[in-house]
Amino acid sequence: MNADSVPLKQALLGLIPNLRAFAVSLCGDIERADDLVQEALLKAWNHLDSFQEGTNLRAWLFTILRNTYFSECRRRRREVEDRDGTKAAELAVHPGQQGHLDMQDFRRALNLLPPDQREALILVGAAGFSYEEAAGISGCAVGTIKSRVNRARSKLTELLGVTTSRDFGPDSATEAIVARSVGGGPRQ
Amino acid sequence: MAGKNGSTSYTAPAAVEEASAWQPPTSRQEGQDRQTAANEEDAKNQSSPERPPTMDTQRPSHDRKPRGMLDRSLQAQLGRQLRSIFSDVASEPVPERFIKLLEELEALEAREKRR
Repeated sequence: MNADSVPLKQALLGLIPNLRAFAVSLCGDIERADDLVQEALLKAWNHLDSFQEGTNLRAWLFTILRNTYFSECRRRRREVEDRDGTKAAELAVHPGQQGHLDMQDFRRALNLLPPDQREALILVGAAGFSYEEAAGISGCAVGTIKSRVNRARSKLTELLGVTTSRDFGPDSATEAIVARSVGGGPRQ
Repeated sequence: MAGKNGSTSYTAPAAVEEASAWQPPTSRQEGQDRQTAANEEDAKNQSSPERPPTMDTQRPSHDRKPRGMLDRSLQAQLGRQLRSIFSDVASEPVPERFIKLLEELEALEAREKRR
């Protein structure tokens, strides 16, 4: 370690809050997130010499953390089959009021996104990386990041049941039920 | 608007629909500066009363495009919620365990160096 590594370590410490934020939004669980951060920090520490001075340390750390997360996901997937599938079937998120989505609902919906889409959305939409930087972190093409962000947004909206058509009143199914129970047509 | 004029020969390929679906939020972000600049210029030239540029988003959506025509305010809200999940944690102080971890790693390294 040379003298340069001292400010680098300080920078490492300063980036921990950001790293935790990324980990929590990625895995949706603060305890698991902190384990991910710990593992990422250890890996980063042991490979500090492979970090190129002058490049983006934050992006470098995020890359290590997401690689840790995704290899863990792969391991878990082998252990527990089709977990996301059952979770998706259980979900029924219906915001009580138009335009006032519950934070809890949002977290649930976010966790139901495919991990690669969630990652892209967080990197671009919350962590403030450019599409290019996000592509570098995820190790894929810029176009892939863009389409993941796009799909993530549509999926979120779908999961939360808030497409525009519903923003302007109850959906047709609800209307039909109401109409039947009241004994009139949906619209007089 | 064009669709209501009778002939509906326009059929957007799926790829185009997809592309336009994500454009509103991003172009809103990137275009914000440009938009404010344009507004300022507008005000200079005409000193017109304040006119929000996004009035047309209040229109009910077309039924054929339930996905592409996401309400802007809704997208903005989803964006806010996403950022708040992130920034809530990012604003927390560094937990003790990580400060200790880095200290231990540093101490370990110092010991190895002395050998």
